[in-house]
Order: sequence, then structure tokens, then C-alpha cells
Amino acid sequence: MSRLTEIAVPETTVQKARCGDEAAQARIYELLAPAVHGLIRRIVANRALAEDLFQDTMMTVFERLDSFRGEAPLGAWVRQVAVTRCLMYLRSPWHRARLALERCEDHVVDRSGGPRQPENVLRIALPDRWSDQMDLERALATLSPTARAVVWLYDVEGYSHEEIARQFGRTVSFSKSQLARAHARLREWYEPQTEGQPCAPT
Amino acid sequence: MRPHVNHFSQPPRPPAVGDIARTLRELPAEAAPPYDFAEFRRRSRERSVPGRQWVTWPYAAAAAGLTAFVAAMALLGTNRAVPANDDLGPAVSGPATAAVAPGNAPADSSQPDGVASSQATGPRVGGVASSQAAEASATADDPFERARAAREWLARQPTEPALVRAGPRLTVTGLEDRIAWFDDALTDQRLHGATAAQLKVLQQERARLVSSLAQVRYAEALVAGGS
Repeated sequence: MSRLTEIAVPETTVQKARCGDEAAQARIYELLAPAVHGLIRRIVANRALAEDLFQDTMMTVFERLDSFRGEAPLGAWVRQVAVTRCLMYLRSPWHRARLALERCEDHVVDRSGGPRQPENVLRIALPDRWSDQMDLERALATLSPTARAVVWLYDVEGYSHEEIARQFGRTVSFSKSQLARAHARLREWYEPQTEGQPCAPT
Repeated sequence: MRPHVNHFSQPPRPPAVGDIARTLRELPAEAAPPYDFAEFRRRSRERSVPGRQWVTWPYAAAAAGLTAFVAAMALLGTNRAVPANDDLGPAVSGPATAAVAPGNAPADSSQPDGVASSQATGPRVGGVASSQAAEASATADDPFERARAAREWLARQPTEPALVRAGPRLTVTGLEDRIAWFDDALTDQRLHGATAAQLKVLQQERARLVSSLAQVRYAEALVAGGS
């Protein structure tokens, strides 16, 4: 497992890539692409959207490589580009409209039980560590895109509330409340299921 | 009362994970990129090229269309303005004027004095005084003087058009003069390499005049047959 900020890219490779050396650019792509794609997939769950944003991010990286000053690792700079791209998408009216449509579809499809709940997802018995991870993956998938992005940026990428608020163009309390609600939701997912359905009518 | 039997209720889950953040950090942070660098380059080129094509080609087509339209309108305006000036010559010193100028020998004795056609040339040929006829004959040799005199004469005419009874002869003459002018203009434009659009405008105008002349001739024939 490697985070974007921990990926070391040689300075000479960056210099050559700046000059348009395709081999150097390919090397940077090989080094950074998996982590960039992983980050984008975490923030934007949809595969097709993640692919589009990944392409945008990598294009921006190579187009603006001249503006990278080298004060921080290249991975950190690339992560910033990727996060900005993702949050721009999440803030866009197009994304909000899409969410509203999805919510409508959920109500139409699942009339009896309302919107999909975490309980509707099948749980499989696995070794504890894998099971926890899979549960967490499923729990993350039930969060709203905004809440998922806030949780990931705060808990995994190490962003502060101020940085998250700046990225979203909102207040610090927005970031804190989103994180608190998301954590509560994730804890609910882990809580023991005490109430089951009876096997026969009473 | 029967006891609450719940054979299929799930066993209690393991204790809740206290540190969600730690578990999140243990999740795989990498995902295989959807394509390799070559495919990435190809997609990058695809995203850039259509934008340039879109900017260039429709705008060029629109600009060409607009230029052609403006050129056609300019040519049409020019062609309508020039014959009006040329017509002033015959209106003053040609057969039309001779027919209505009492000082000169009238070419058409059927036309009453001071009466002119309002169909072909409008009120500008009606009611010409003897002093104006003399002035016209004095300047008949110089076309520029003739045009200037005609303009002055036009400026002296009342703004309200007069309702007059006009015979078909002036109308026919005026139409024939205009058709002849358009024939000359067509020949001239062809020799100077005018575009098809410009020639088409001239031809349309000439066809319209020929159609008008045919209608007048037909009406003339009907009147002659009736009488």
C-alpha cells in the first residue's frame, strides 16, 4: 500500500517530463496512476466518472508540470490536483442533478422499503480483517459522495477541517458536521444487530 | 402466550471497530489504472483535437456565408441605384421628356400637355415647364450636366405624388430602357469576372422587368382588341 505523498519520483524524471520527454512522462504515469486512480475511486464511487476524472487529472498534471516548484513531493502536488478535480465535480450542478435523479429512482424501485439501507446489503462470513474491510467498503458506499469525500480526506489523506472547508468552499463547521455524521453512520454499520425478523408469524 | 422464537436472527456482530480512521487507512489505496500510458496519450489527443476542429470549421463556414450575403446585398443596392441615375437622362432629354415638354415637338401627340406616366418613372416626369425644357436642351450634350439638371429638377418637384392618367407608351419605354441597362450591366460584369451570385441578382432583376413589360404589352393588346 502506498499513498500518493509517499511515492518518490526522481527529480531528473520530473525535469525530463517538463521538457516533453515521453519516456519520462510514461514513467511518472506508471508511478502515480494507480494511487491517483485509487484516490479518485474512493471519492467518486462511480467507475465511469472516476475514469473521466482520472483522465482529466493526469492531463492537468502533464499540462501544468511547469508550475510544479518542487517544494513538496510530486505526489502531494498531484494529489492536490486530483482532489480539486473531484471536489469540483461534486460541487457541480450536473452532479447534484444526477444525485437527485438517483434518489428518485431509488424511491421508484424500492417502494416497500424506501431508499436502500445498509441492512439490504448481503453480508458474507470472512476472516475478521477482511470482513471488517469489506464491511467498511460497503459502509462507505452507503455514504453520500460529499460525506465520503470528507471522511476520506480527513481520516486517510490527513487534510484538516480548514483545508477541507476551503476545498469545498464551505465553513469549517460544515466539514466537522459532515465528518461527525459520517462517523455515526459508519458506527451504526458496525453495531450488533439485536433485532431480527421472526421465522414465523406471531 | 407463545414465546418469541427467532431462529434466524443473526448472531451479534463483533464489537464495533473503535478506530474507524485506522481501518480506513488499512483499505487498499491503489487501484489499477483503467489504461496504460499509450491509451492515455491517445485519449488526451482525442480530447484536444475535436475542440480545435469545432472552433475552426463552422466559424469559417459562417463567415463565408455572411461575406457572400453582404456582397450580394451590396451589389443589389448598387445595381438599383445606378439605373435610377441613368434614367434621369432620357427623362429630361429623351423621348419621354419630348412627349411631355410643350416647348419641344411632342413625340406622342396622344399625351396631353403636362401629363406623364406615374407608373414607369413616377411624378418626376410630369408637369415640366418650358424654362426647364430650355435648360435641358442647353445641357443635353454633357451627361454630367444633364444628371445635375435632372437632380435639381427633381428637388423642385412637390413631395406629394400627383395622380395622373398615363398611357402605356412611357411605361414601355422606361421598362425597355431599364432592360437594356441590365443587359449592358450583365455583359460588363461577365467581362470583369463577376461571381455567379452577382450575375444571378442582375438576371433576376432583368427577368422581373421583362415580366412587367410582357404584362404591359398584354394589357395594351387587350385594349387594342377591345377597341
